[in-house]
Amino acid sequence: MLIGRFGRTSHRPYIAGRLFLPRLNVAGDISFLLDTGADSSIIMPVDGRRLGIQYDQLQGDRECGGIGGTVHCYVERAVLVFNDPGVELYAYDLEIDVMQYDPEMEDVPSLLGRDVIDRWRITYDPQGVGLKVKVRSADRIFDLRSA
Amino acid sequence: MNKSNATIEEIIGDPKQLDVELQAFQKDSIILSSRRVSLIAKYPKRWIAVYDGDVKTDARSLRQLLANIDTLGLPRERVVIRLIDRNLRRMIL
Repeated sequence: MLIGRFGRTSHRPYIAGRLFLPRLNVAGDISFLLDTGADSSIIMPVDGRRLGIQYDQLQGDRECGGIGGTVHCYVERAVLVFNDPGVELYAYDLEIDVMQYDPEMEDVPSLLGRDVIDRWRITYDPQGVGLKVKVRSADRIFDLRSA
Repeated sequence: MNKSNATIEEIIGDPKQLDVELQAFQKDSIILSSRRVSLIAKYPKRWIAVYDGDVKTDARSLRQLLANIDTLGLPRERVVIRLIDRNLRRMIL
């Protein structure tokens, strides 16, 4: 079971995971906003800059649409890892969008979209048990209980 | 070394170490919620960096915060950063 959290003020649902961009040798932890309206996951500038992504080395070209219009995104192979502490790791090998740098979007969190969410069964209960995830499938599962 | 074609196992390294580090990041993330009221009072409209259970530095801009993190020698990849703002941007994504 994965455990997420709800923001105290925003009430937004977050879940933490580790991002790897192997071509760029970038790795780091991200608190993702769960977004069932997002077709795919996207790394926003706040995390891109923190993790030291070299934007001039990014590849791929995709238009990402939202309420504010369309923005340019790069596309990179990524591995996302989520943990059931002390029990299992769940890894997803996918293509992720990296939004081009825009200072106006610095306070917007990275999004975990349906490319991952569709493989989960989520209990969304901010007034009760909280945010819990039962993983239906992953590209690779690591058992942490083995010696 | 370019790891474009590496396997998941090669990319993530030691799973148990990753689990331990991710648990620490999750605990630091929870501080943003559990200490929200005091953070708003102390750091209004400022960026903060949380690591190892405490706010380690703050700044008026993301650029300055990242510079502070580097100066302190903190691992960017495991630091939680957030803009503390009472008036949250309404997001429809």
